[in-house]
This record gives sequence, structure tokens and C-alpha cells, in this order.
Amino acid sequence: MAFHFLSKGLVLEQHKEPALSRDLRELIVPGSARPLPLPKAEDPAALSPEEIIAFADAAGIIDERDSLPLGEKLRAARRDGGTAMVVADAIDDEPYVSSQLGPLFKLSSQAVGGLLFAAKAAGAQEIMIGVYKNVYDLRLRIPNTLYGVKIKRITGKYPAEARSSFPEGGEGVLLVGVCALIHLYRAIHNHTAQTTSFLTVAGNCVANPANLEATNGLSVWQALERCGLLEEPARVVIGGPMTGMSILDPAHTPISATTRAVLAFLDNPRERHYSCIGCGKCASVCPQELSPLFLYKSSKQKLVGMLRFYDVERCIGCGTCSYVCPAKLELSAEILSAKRLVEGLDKAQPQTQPQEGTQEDQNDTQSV
Amino acid sequence: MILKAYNPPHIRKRDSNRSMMDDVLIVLIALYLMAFYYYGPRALLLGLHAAGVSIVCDLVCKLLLRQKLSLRDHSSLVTALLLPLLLPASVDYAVVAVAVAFALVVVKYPFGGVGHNLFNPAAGGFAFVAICFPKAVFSYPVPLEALNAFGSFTGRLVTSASYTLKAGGVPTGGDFLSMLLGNTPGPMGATNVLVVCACLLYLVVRGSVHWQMPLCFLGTCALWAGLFPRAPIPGGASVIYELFSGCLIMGAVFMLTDPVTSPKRASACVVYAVFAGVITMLFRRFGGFEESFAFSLLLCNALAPIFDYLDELFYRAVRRGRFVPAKNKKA
Repeated sequence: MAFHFLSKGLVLEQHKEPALSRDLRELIVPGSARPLPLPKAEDPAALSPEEIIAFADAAGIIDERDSLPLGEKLRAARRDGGTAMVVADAIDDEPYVSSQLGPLFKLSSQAVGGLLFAAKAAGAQEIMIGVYKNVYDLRLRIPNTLYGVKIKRITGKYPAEARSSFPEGGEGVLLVGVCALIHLYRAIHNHTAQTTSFLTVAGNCVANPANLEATNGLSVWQALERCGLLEEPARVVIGGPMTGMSILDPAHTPISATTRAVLAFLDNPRERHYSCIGCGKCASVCPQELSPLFLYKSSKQKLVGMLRFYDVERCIGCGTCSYVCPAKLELSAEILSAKRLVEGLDKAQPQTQPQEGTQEDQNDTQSV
Repeated sequence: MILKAYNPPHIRKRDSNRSMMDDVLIVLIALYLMAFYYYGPRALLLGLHAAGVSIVCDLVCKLLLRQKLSLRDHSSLVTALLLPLLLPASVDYAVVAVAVAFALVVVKYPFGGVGHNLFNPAAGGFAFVAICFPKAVFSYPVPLEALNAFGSFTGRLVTSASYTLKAGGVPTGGDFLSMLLGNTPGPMGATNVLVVCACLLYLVVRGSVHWQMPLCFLGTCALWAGLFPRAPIPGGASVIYELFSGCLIMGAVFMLTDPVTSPKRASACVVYAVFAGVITMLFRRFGGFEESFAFSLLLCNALAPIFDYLDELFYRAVRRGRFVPAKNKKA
């Protein structure tokens, strides 16, 4: 299983430096810290699991990994009879982004403290920290343990984080983002709610790439100004460079708990679009073993039966196909919109779908 | 500040269609230099002539298709420069022009141009002139003998090793080393086996071709030649003569690996290459021409979508075996 994952995907230049090795910068509005509506914990070590979850709820902590409330995640894990392992997610497999790795090493005591609380709340025996292995250009050495907690190096090529399960666990593993763990620690020890989030500001027209702790609700533009711009950017992206969203109005786009990066790029004037020559590079990197070039053609011609035949619903939108495409086609975006189309049709008429699908497959095969 | 909306991903690999085509052009230039060494300036002039014809055809076809006129796309140039290398250096300029024009105007553009052609244009062009002008295409000048640069060739013409093999005889003249270096009568570029292999290495390292295809194809051909020699010679000698004669290695490196007309995935390419190898060797044995690679390639091109379809069925099974059904799936 894992073997397939090792063979497919991308090895990307990481560009995590210099943001990662610099100190955390702050962009915090004075007086924005908010105390919790709970009595202070006198002895944090003696808190019961339920009390920890109550702290997470009261502090309004959102897990930056999957944008779920941390309290909900811990409660669900507890309801299922406890998980075997809690993993602190600092995978950060996308280039430029180091907003989990940075805080993990700059605020290690808080991160590990939060992990211990989360493990207690979820009823887990084992704890671990997950870090992506394919990062080579780091100035800082990633140790094997952090305060006695094992750091697991996640192997494999680029979409390492998008995988549905932790390679060794599958069931019984709860992945919690490092930033959420830091906020949990602060809620219990400092008695403050989550009003900030950690984000990486980087890209080829940012003067001082850095990891930032910014108050939620400030605009993306303020974060960019905090780090300085070398030139007018042509695109500003929220999230990683592979899956992030390009925004048009940074001055009115707020930073939220799930903003993991703000990237500003110059326009690339040499980028041109060609027509597909069928080199098959997209199919050779797709981590889901799909054939993006055929999906793209089917989607352009609106052949729903063919889209089903090529398993469009298995696309995870990681963007590897668009990255390698020598024709610079918008493969990933087109396939994702086709996926939404097919899923919409499935919802509309779930009964007749399988019959129709096979019939259409046979007809459409001729035309491609 | 003016921002534009973009789709993710926001970083792209630097390779483009153009850089892939340019890689092939670079290695073709190396082959032209070898041809210049063996046959003098006529080899280079044939190449320039072909390139000129291809540019004219390209512009005319784009006008007819109402596409934007530009010379940014180099794929026609690759086809045009490839064709003279498959022909003898003595070939008439008119024959080269006919081959290039047929390749572009009939084989490539009616199907929609770059990326849409069903058949390899170079193979189509070669097949056309092989049928129309067999005398000009299958008689070769002797290497290192001076050729007149302009006009029709007037010197001595000989047959190549593939003709002897076709007739069931044992090829003479030319030891292993001179065959490796291309010092034998034959197509202008295809005889330089060593250089062609170096070209393959470059293309594979640059990631422009699937390495599986030429290797599996030549492996199959070698196995077939070793098992069923056409002439009364030992299997090992048969392997060398079959592989080094005609356009086999040249075709495997430059024509079989054409991304447009071959299957898309590496797994399908392997099966396709083995199939193409068997078909080529059958054509060589039972076909009417001494050099039949182009004909067998055209047949395989027509069947390539079937290989893709079967491969997709295989990968559907792979995908289903590997994953637990997704939670939100209805079926």
C-alpha cells in the first residue's frame, strides 16, 4: 500500500527557508487577548479529559489541519472509546509553507504540552509528532525526539498530507495540527482564547519571508506589509502554492484560524498555454492513479459517462498533474469542477446512475 | 495593485511542450553533424530544405485552419528534420519536399494539428515516399565519398544490409565497429547507431521520452531476430544485423516514442512496444519493402488507443483494490 504512494507524486523544491529558521514575528493587536469564561485551572496536570475538552470549547480552538473545532474532534475520539495514538501534525508538505514546523520548534514546550493534554482528552496511550521527510534545504536540524516525544518522519512524495490516514495507523489515529495544540496549551495555562493564528508569509516578491503570529481578523494585506513587498505582486494566494486559493482583494480578506500561509508571487510572463500532446506525465505522477489527461478531455466535452469511467470522484485536487503538465493546462481545476458536476448529478438521481454509466461508457469510448 | 485570478497550483514545473520539442531538435542536430561528416554539405542542405518546406506547410495549414500564425510550436520542425535522416543522402530535394509536405498536410493537420494526429507524421511521410519513389529511397551512396551538394545525385549507389537480409542473403562488408559508427551504406542518420543511442540517453535523462518504450521494443526485436534469423547466420550475428540495419534504432528512439501517437502510461507503453516489435519483425519477414518499420508503426499507431483503454481498465482495478470505498460514495 505504502509502496504505491512512494512511487507516485512529486519531489518539490521546498523553499521553506529563510522563513523557517527566523524567529516567529508577531502581528498582534494590543488588548485583543480574551480571557476564558471558565474558572482558572489551578493544577493543569490534574485536569480530567472532560475538563480539557471544555477548555478547548471555551477557547474556540479550530484545528488548522481540517478546520474542525478541536473540542469536537477530541469528543468524537473519546466517544469511539478512545484512540490508540494522537499525532501532532507538522507535516507541511507544500513548498514555502512552514507554519506548523516553525511554531513546533520555536514554541516546542507549548506544542508538546498541548499534545499531552490532547492525548489525555482523547484517551490515547501513544503520542507522536509527524514531520515531512522530503525537506532538504532546511538550516535547522530536525531532532529525533522533542521533550521525549518521538518525531516521525513521513516519507513519500508531495501529497503526503492529503492522504486519508497516517501511514502506520489507519484506524485509531487522531491527527491534530500543531497550532491547535499550542492554542490548547495556552487556553489551559494562560487562560486565553484563540485569537491568533500562525501563518507563513512568503513568495518570490516578499522581502522578509517569515512565520507570523497574527491576530485573526486582520487583513491579508497587513500580513504582507508586515513582511514587506519587493514589488507589486501579480497574485496573492491564501494557503499553500499547490492547493491554495488566489484572492483578488487582500485588503478586505481577513486572516482566519485556518489561514496557513499568505504567498505573493510575481507574474510569470513566459508561461504560455499549449495543446495537450499526450505525454502522460500527469498520469505518471497522479497519487490516486488517475489519468488526468483523459479526465480533462472528457470534462471539456462534458462526457459524464467517461468521467465516471475514469473515476473522477477519486480526485483529491492535489494539483500534481497541473504542476508537471508541459502544455501548462489547467488540469486540476478542470477535473475538480467536473468532479463537482458528477457529484451533483449523483445526488439528483442516485438510482438510475450505475446502469446509465456503463451504457454511456461503451458509447463514449469510441469518441475519445 | 492589479491582481489576477489564477487556478492552483501556483507553482509550475519549468518544462514545456516547447522545451520537450527543443530537446529532440538538439539531438537531431547532433545526427546532422554526423551525416555532414559522412556525406558532406548535401546532408545539411537536405535538412535546411526540409525545415524550409515544413515552415511553409505549417503556415499554410494554420491559415486554412484559422489558427493563430506563429512559429512557436516546433513539432513540425522535428518531423521535418527527422525525415531526411531516414532517407539516403543521395535523395532528390523534391522527394524530401514531398515527404515533408505529405507528413504535415495529410497526416498531421487534417486531424487538428499538434496533439491530435492519429499517426506519426514522420512515419506517414516516409511511407508515402517509399511507395512512390522506392528507387530513390532504397539505394544509398557510399559514406565518405564526395556528394554533389546541389541537384540530383550522379554518383555510385549501392544497396544496404537490410536489402540483403530481405533477399535472404548474408550481408557482407562492414564489420561490427563500422556498423556501430555508421560507416556503412544506409539512411543518412539512422546508421549512426552509437550517436542515436547517446541521443536516447539524453532524451531519457531530460524526461522527454519513456525509457521503457525503445528498450522493450528493441529487446523484442533482438529476441525475435535471435530466435528466427532470416539469413543462414548464427543468432547473435542476426541480432546485430537486424538491429543495426535500416531505421530500427532510429525509429525506436524518435518515432515510436512520439508522445502524441503512443499510449500514455508507462505500463501501456511496455505492452505497446513489445507488440510493435513483433509486428515490425513480421513486416520485415513478410512485407514487400526492405525497410518496413514506418509501415508497422502506422499500424501500431492506429491501435494505440486500445492499449490505453485496456490500461485504464487495469488501473480501475488497481484503484479499487487499493482503497476502502470512500465514505461519501453512494453506489
